[in-house]
Amino acid sequence: MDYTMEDTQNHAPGTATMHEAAKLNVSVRRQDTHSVTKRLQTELMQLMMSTTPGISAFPNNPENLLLWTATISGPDETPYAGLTFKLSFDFPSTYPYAAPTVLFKTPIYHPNVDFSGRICLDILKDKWSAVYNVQTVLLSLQSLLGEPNNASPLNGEAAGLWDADKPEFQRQVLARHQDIEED
Amino acid sequence: MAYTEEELAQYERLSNDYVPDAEGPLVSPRQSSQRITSEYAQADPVYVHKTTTLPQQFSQYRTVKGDGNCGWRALAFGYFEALLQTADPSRVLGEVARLTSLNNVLDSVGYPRDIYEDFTDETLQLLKSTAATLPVHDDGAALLASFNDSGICNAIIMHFRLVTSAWMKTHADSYVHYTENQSIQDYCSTHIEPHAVEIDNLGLQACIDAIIKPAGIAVQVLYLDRSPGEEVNQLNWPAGPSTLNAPYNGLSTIRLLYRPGHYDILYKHEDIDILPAAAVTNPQINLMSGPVYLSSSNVCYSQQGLDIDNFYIPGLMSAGVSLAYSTDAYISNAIYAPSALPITSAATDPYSVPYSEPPKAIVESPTLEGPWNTDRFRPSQYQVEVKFRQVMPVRPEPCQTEAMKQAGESKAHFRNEDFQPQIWEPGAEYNVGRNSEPNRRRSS
Repeated sequence: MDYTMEDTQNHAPGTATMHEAAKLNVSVRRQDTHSVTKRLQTELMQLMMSTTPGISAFPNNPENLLLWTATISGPDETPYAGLTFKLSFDFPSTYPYAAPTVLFKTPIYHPNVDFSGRICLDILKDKWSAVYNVQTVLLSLQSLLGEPNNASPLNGEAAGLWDADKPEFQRQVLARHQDIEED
Repeated sequence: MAYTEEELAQYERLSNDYVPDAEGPLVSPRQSSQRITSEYAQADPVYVHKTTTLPQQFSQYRTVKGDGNCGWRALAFGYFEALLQTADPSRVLGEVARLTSLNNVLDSVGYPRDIYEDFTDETLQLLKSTAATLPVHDDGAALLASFNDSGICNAIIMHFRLVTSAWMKTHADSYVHYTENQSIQDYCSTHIEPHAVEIDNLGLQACIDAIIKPAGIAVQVLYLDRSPGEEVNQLNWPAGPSTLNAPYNGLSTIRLLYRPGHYDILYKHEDIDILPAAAVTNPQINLMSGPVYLSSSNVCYSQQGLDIDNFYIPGLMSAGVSLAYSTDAYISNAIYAPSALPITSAATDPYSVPYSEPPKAIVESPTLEGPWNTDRFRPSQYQVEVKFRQVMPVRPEPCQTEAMKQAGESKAHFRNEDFQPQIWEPGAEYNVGRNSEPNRRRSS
């Protein structure tokens, strides 16, 4: 192999030479998958050891740790009291450095959730940090149920009703809610 | 409305997922900083001027991948490399202890231990593996490989981010006036904690306060921007006194080149000259009897207490020079200091001279006191910016005595797993062209 090229100025700045690039990419890919899996196993263990009332989460399928289903129950003294909601977690291969994609699977009437179940929550977007985890996301979502952020609603009508007409809001919540069957 | 909700969501997703195409390795090998000059050859005259003068002071640099973590990565890499340069395993293990104790700060702001340990473990593990080979080292090759492993590198960056964030939250008074009306909590959750959010000046300050400065490492940032002037502007953060018992050693300065939105790592000639010197180990020193003189270095030390484990490379850990300057004053003056420092070739090639020769000081040292019968050298800040290159003729011969030549045959080398026996490379020596150049060293 020819190493003499490495020190010439013809070489574009910042680019690895061929053998470096090959070497680096291999280790990078291996490490990524490894760290996602390790991290998710730790989280799963933690969730099973310390059961937090009102939240639970588990991988859909033991073969694929990157897809989870979670459940949260509506906090007492909110329009969601007594209801349970299923959510899906889709973890990117760069997790925990990138946020999981979280969707409400159970239809929900809420100012910060649209009708496809997409959620507007800062820690799932620009404030996501690798120090957050499934548990912190679920706890944040639970508190979002009781304290919607009406400043940036995805569902404008819900945001309006929350402020203007709580009984009507409650009716809409119950009308929209329907338990989805296990799959 | 022009867009449906679906379309907007799709665009939002695309925009959230957008990752700019940053090229190159996470941290590159050292390369000539002439490249920076040629990059800017066609640019604004201000840049042309500044980049033309840059390589005179800073001969080499490393590129750091511009993926939003570059400032953090540059600082973290610099931190590890500076510790490596001390060639002092106890110093590095001291950092392991200090960073471990910083976990208390992480706990105090409520980060869950089982989550952050994934990140802290990578830092501590790399520190330990770095310490394990010292005082012999490989000029950062292992560090470079680790920092180009995104799993390790991201974890270390996250660790630095979390410590910085926790530090800011627990020292809020020092930082709250610089956050532009954000609370420290908000600032950290938008600027420090999220991955791939670039470090800003406040984050840099906090990271230095929390991690870099207490390690006894200084930071110098060179700002290459359009501001008027012939040279790049610079800001210096002097090293704090090391919290460890080891003598304070001002050797290490992390030098960063800032171009708006991006950081790379810079090196002076001296920074690089020091590294290969430290990479050489010479167990034969242990076998010598009587005082060892390194000629023209003003360093004389007795053999007492010298063994392979606490063998300090002369000119790295100490030299017989005055301690008249305070650390801070030295660091900030260093850049402008004239080169007539009483430091000599010992720092470049400590083994280049016959050890039995009496010292022949080229530059008179006011504090030359003869041999000290202590097993520790007096520390000095002079080694940081030593400009011996300009003072001293460079010695062409790395080994001049029989004892030194045989150093490569010592069995003590086998304790170092990275040890490579000397291989005669006629191609390199006689410059007969690349075809006949043997490459056993790399391919074996």
